[in-house]
Parts: sequence; structure tokens; C-alpha cells
Amino acid sequence: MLHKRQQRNTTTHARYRAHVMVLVCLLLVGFSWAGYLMASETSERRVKISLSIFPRVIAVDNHFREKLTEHKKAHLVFVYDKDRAKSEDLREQFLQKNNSVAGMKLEVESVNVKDLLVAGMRPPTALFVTERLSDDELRDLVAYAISKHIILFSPFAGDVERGATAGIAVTSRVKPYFNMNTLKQSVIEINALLMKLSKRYE
Amino acid sequence: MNNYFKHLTNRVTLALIAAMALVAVAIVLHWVIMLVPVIKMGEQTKADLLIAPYTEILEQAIDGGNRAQIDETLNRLVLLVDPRLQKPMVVKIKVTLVSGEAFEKTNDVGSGYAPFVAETPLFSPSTLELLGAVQLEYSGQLYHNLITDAETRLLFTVLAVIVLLVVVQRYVSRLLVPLNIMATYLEDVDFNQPQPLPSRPRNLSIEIKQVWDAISQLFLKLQQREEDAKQEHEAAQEALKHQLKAETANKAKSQFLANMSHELRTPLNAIIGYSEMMIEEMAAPEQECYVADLEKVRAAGKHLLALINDVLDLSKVEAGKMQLYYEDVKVYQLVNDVLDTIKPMADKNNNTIIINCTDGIGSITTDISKLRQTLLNLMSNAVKFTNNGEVSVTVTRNFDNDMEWIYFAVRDTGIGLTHEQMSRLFVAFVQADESTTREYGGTGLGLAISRSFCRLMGGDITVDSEIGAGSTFTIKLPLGVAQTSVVEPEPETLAEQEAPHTEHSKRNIEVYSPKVDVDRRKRKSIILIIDDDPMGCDIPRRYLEKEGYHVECAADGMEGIGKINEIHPDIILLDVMLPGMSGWQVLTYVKKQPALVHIPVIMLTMIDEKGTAYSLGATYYLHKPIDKGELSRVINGCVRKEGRDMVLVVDDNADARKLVRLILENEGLQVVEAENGYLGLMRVAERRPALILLDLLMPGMSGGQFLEELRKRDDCLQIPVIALTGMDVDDQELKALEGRVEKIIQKGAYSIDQVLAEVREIMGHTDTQKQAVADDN
Repeated sequence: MLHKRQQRNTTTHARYRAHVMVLVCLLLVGFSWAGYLMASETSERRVKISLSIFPRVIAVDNHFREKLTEHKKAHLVFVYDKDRAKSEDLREQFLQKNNSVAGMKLEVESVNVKDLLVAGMRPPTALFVTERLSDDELRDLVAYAISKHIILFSPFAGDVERGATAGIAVTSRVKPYFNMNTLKQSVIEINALLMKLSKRYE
Repeated sequence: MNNYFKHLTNRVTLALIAAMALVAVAIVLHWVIMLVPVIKMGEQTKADLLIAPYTEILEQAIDGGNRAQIDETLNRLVLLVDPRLQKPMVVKIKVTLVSGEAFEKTNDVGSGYAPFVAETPLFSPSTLELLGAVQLEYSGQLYHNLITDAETRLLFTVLAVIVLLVVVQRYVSRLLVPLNIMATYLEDVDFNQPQPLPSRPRNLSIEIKQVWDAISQLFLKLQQREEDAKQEHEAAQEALKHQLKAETANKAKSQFLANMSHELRTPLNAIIGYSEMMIEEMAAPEQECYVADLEKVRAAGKHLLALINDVLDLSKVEAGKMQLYYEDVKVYQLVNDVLDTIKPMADKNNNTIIINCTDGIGSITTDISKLRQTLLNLMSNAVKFTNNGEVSVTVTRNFDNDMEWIYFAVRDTGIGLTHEQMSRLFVAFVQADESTTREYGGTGLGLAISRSFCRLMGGDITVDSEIGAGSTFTIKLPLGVAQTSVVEPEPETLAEQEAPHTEHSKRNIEVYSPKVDVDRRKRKSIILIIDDDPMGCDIPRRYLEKEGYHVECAADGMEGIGKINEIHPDIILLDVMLPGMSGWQVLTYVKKQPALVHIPVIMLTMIDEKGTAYSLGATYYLHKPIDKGELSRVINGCVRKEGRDMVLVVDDNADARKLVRLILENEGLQVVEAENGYLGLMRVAERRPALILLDLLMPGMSGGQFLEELRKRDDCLQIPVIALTGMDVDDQELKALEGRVEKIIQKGAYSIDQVLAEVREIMGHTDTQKQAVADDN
């Protein structure tokens, strides 16, 4: 009798522990998912705001006009990795807001990052990252931008620190954010007045 | 204790200082790290947010070249007022174009507070090209006020904390410092000489005050107790000194009285003794006139002796040194004895004496000499204060409080007493009336001594009287021994004392009515008198020589022992107070020598040490001055003879001895008692008994040892012995007793008749045996 009671108690305890473990896992998954959703939502907002700031940033490049296409158009590439539709959607929105930069017509396209890096296409005027890239992809993309002396604009938090030429810094207001090292390597000169009013990553 | 509180105080103080420092550091860190940057950031954010909505307006105005719009926008910003301070929010706003042109609006806020600067680029809405920048200087006054407020609050908080800690520290000090003082005091305090606590420090907490007061009270009580103890000690010392002084004085008094008694009684002894002898010797009719004179001398001597005895008795009673010697007293005989003594006095006053006492009243165990003295005193008073009247003595027995008592009521029809006289009747040196002394004489000590004696014996004397009708004095005494009043002196101590004698007692020697030819024995009997007083030797010598005895004298103990060994006297008369070797030492020597132990020793002394004498083996105890008749009776009773009708009872139990005595005396037999085997052997040596009743179980020398010693003597082999025992005798013991005792009687198992029958049978048998031996011879 005693043995059975002990066995029953042991089984009950094991079941109780299993339930607790499941609950903890669910909570962890839930929190992770909520965190991901929140981060995703913030990123979306940053991307949308950046659509307004991106043309203003490339306009203060002192050598902006030297980087136009042969048709005197500013060739802007929206770089994506997997989500082309989103990239396309962003391109549409960008074009609805802006049809020119500093009086120059725009030529905007969405290009997969791999295609951009592999294909021997002519260098664009500037790059805009539409989705979060992996470290390797971003590193390669930064190297590409530096080599072509063009601005790589990424709206995602932390990408400027990872090497992107420009981005945004959000505090009580939104400021342009520049990686001074990448700027120097890319031999890009930004208007001094704007640089003074922007955030810099040394 | 002191260190503990000191350390505790230090620790608490240090803890409070540390807490204070920690709190201060925490507040400062909170201020520096948290509050200032947050406030600063908040103000900066305000500046940033303030400029944000106007940026687009300014971009459009600049892009469109609308200077009025720019001016209006700048004015609107400059006009803004902080609702809390009611002061301008914006100190300065400046728009700088890429071309270098600038627009600026300022407010005079009148203070030098550093502003928060918010600066933002201006882009052309149409071309997105950089137009310039706008810089807004947000007023720092609010920040300054906030910081000032915060700093003030911080300061107050720090001050409050410091005050709080100081208060706590002070409170803790209030608790601990007095405890520290108290502990210091308690460590150093000398509890043999406690001093009051030092004055109480001010501002103590209620609890500490209570503790302080309680300890203070405690020390006051200790001090008081110490003082009381000191006073008590001093009083005790003083009392002890007085007591010692009193004891010394008392001792001196006792010594004086003892010396005086000896010095007074020695010549009195001679006066009385020689006057008696002269009275006897002046038998010629022509000398009768001298006889009357000598009678007066003798009477005066006896009166003087009685007075001395009274004073000494009272002295001994007061000193608690009065001894009692208990023995069985036949009441009827005693009363008649006293009557014989008192009768001449009664006749003189023409009084009739009535005795209401029969022989059946029985015996009591008491000090006969003191009872006799008391009765004599009461009866002599009765006859003295009664003329032509009646004096009666009524003796009754009664139970009271589960005890049996005997009452001697002496009633007279004399002058009687008032209540006032009765109240001081028993006070020493006080008589009923001062005129009494003049009329009737006396010292006023008699009744006081009598009452003391009665109380000493466990009883009392009461008086009932009516003036003119007479008085009744009643003596109440217990029938048995009142154990509490028995004084057992140590022989060694008493041997050195010279206590005065007070008694006129005599042994019940009447039971030894000699029937043998006394004259025949006298011719052979030698009596040795050992006394350092020549008269003490001469007077009895004359008496005894007249009786036909041969008398030898010795002046001290050593000479006495020499003569004892030389002549082996039949009887020794021994004084106690001898130069060099005392009478007790001589007695002890005699009773330890097998060749001498049979010699009866009669103590003849002034001191009152009857108990000591009997315990050392004395046969009789007589007081000086010598009563000729008494001496003669005692000597005749001690002359060595065979006690044909004498039974020796050897038993340590006094009641058992008494019972046997009563039974055997009723049978007409003479009984001699011995309370142990050693004394039993002495009695046998002095006078050979016809039968010995022997208790087997006795302390000291047991019955068996007694038998062994008895059978060692050839002349005692024929004495029959009846063994009495309270225990069961086994076969081995029976075998040991076989042939040594005639009969073994178990106490309680035999009736009185059976015991008597055994005694009769054995004594009859013994007589027959002796007759047979005589016939054979």
C-alpha cells in the first residue's frame, strides 16, 4: 500500500514537472515571438521613415552628380535577399514620394544581393537595403559599396555599426547616421552642414 | 560587562556612521548618474521635439522663398512660454541657409542659464537638396530650476538622514551609555561595602531610568542591609562581650559560692558534729544545762546550714547547673518521713497534721531529695503560718493530657494570702509581707527554690489562698521521668567541679533490714575514711568507733590508695575534694582493681554529684554534715554479708528493673539494681546476692560477658542466674547458656506469677542446697 502511494506520488510529481516545463517553454517561445514581432514592427517603421531620408542623404553627397548614369539619372538599387516583393513594394512607395533627387531623374530597381555582387552590372548611384541581411552579405555589400564609392544606406538598427555607409539614428528626433570609416574608405564627401547635424559613428 | 557595552556603543556608532555614509553616497550617485542626465535628456528632448513640427514649415517657406512665412514661424516659436515658469521657452532660434543667409529671433530671458540646443537640417521638399539648418536654443531655466529643486531636496534629504542617524545614535547612546556607566560601576563595586550608584545621568530613556532606579534601590537596600548587618554584628559583639563578662562574673560568683560553701560548711560540719557528740557524751544529770546550750548550738548550725543550702540551691538553679538524680520513690514512705521531720514544728504551734495518703498510692520516679525538700518547705511554711490550726497533706494521682501525674496538696488554715501577695510569692528574696520576715523569719527563697525544683522535674507548684482562711499549695509532678529536665554531667568535668551540695537525700536503705549478728561482723570490719579535713575524718571516726568498727584515716587520695592496698578495708568512706588525687580518681582506681572491686565505697562529701558517683561504682552517697543515724544505717547495710534474701536485677531498662523490683519487694525480697553488667559485678562483689535476674542484651557489657566474668570467681559459681531476654534464643545460644543459667525467661512470654514461681523455686532450691552444704560441714 505504501509503495503504491509512493509510486502514485512520484508519477504525480513527474507529471507536474512536465507541465511546468511545457509552460516555461511556451512562455519562452511566446516572449521570443513577441520580441521578434516587436522588433519586426520597429524595423518596418524605420524602413518607411528611411524612404524619405535616403534621397536627402544621397543628395548631400558632394560627388552625387558624378555618380549618375550616362542618362544623367540617379540609379538607385533596393537590395534584398529573400523578400523581393517587399523590396518591390518599397520601391513603389519610394517612387510615389520621390520622382527626382536634386533635380535628377530616378532609376530605381530591386536587386537580389547575390545578383548584385556577382553580376558585373554597372555601379549604381546608391544602395538601399530593404531587408536585414546576414553579416556576410552585409560585409560583402559594404565592400562592394566602398569599392564603387557609393553610399550604402541601411535603415536597420546596427547596420551602420556593421559597416553600412549611412542609416538613421532615432532618438527624440530622427537624424542621419554616418559611418565615418566607411565614408573615408569610400572616398565620399558629405555636405559639412549636414554632417554637423548628423550622428556619426567613428 | 563594561567592555561589552563600550564595544556595543562603538559598534552601533560605527554602524550608524557607515549607514550615513552609504546613504549619502547612494543619494549622490543617484543624483549624478540618474537624475541629472535624465533631466538633462528630458530638456534636450523637449528642445528636439519643439523644433520638429516647424522644420517642414520652414523648409517649404525657404524653398518657396516666402520670407514672411519664415519670419512668422520664427516669431511663433519665440513667443512660446513655459506654463510652469511663465517665461519664454525659446531663447534663440536661427535659420542658416546654405547660401550663408541667416534668420534669427531671440528672447531676452535675463539670465545666463546654458540653453539646450536643438539643430536640424532643412531640405527642399521639391528637390530634396539641403537648404540649410535651423538651430533652436531652448531655455535652460526650467532645467536649472529642476536641478535646484532636486539639489535642495537632496540636501534636505541628506540633512534629514543625518539628523535621523544622529537622533538614532543619540538614542542608542542614551540606552547604552548609562548601561556602560552602570557596568563600570558594577565591575568595580565592592559588595562588602556597597556604595550607592553614581547620580543618574540626565535625559535617560524611561526604561533605563527604571533599570537605573531599580539597581539604585537594590544598592541602597544592600547598603542598608550591610549597615544593619554591621550594627547587628556590633550589637552581637557587644552582647557577646556582656555575655562573656556576665559569664565570667557568674563563674566567679559560682566559684565564690562554691568556695564559700566549702569554707562555711566545713566549720559548720564540725560545729554540728561536735555538738551532737557532746550532747551524747554529756549524759550526767549535772551536765543537762550544757546539753540545752549545745542543742541550741546544733540547731543554730543546722539553721545556718539550711540558709546556705538555700542560697546555693538558688544559685545553681539560676545557673542551670542543678542536677537531678532520678530514683523510685515510695510516696507513702516519703510523706511520712517528711511528717516525722515537721511534726515537732507543728506541735510547737499547736497544729494538727492530717495525712490523706495510703500505702496504695505507690511509687514515682523522681529526684527524691528535691521532692522531699519541696514538701518540707511547703509543710514547714504551712505549720509556721498556722497557729492552733490544721495542716493537711493530700496525695492523689490523676491523668492530665494523656499523662499520669501525682499531686501533693498541702492545705493549712493559717493567715492566708492576698492576690497581690500570691503574685510575688515565688519571687526569690521576696516574702508575702515584709513584716513576715520580722515575725516568722526565713530568707524568702524556699518557695522560689521549690517551684524551680518542681519545674525542673517536669511539674509545677500552684497556690490557692484566701486571706484569713488559709492556703493550699499543690505540687504537680509527672509519675515518670521528665526526660527534658534530666542533666547528665560528664564525670571528668564534674570531678573537677566543686559544686555545693544542697540535698538531704538518703538511699532507701531501710529495705536492708539486717537480721544477722551485726556485732559479730563489726568486730571484723575495718572502715577507711579518706578526707583531707581532719574534722571530717575525726567526727565519723568517733561515731563509728562507738559502733565498734575499726577506723583508719587517710588525708589524701594517694595515702588512701596506699592504705586500701595495705589493709583491704571492708568499707571506704570517701570525700571527693581531696588534694592531688580527687575522690573520683580513688573511686575509679578501687573499682578497676579485681582485688578491691568488692569493697563498698560510700561517698561522703559536700558536693552534689550523686549521678557521677553511682556511675563510677559508688555504693552510697552521703552529704556532709554527717547525719549520725544515716551513717550508721548505711555502714551496717554495707558490712560484707551474704544477701540471703537479696536479688540482683541487672538490666539496662529502668522500667523493667522497676517492675521486677515491685514484684519482688511485694514478696518480701530485697532488690538491688544494676544498670549494666559492669555495675552488676560490683554489686555482686560488694554483697553476694541469692539470685541474679540478668538481661542478656545490654549495651557495654552484655549478659553473656557478665556471666563469663561471674563464673570466673569461685565464690560466685553457686549463684543461680535467671536470664531474661526480649529476643528469640537459637539452639547455639541455648547451648552456650546451658549450665550457666538456671532458667531462660522470655520477656512478655511469662506472666508475673510464672516469674515469681520460678524465683521462688530457685531460691528455695538454693536455700536447700546451702542447708545441705552447711549440714555437710
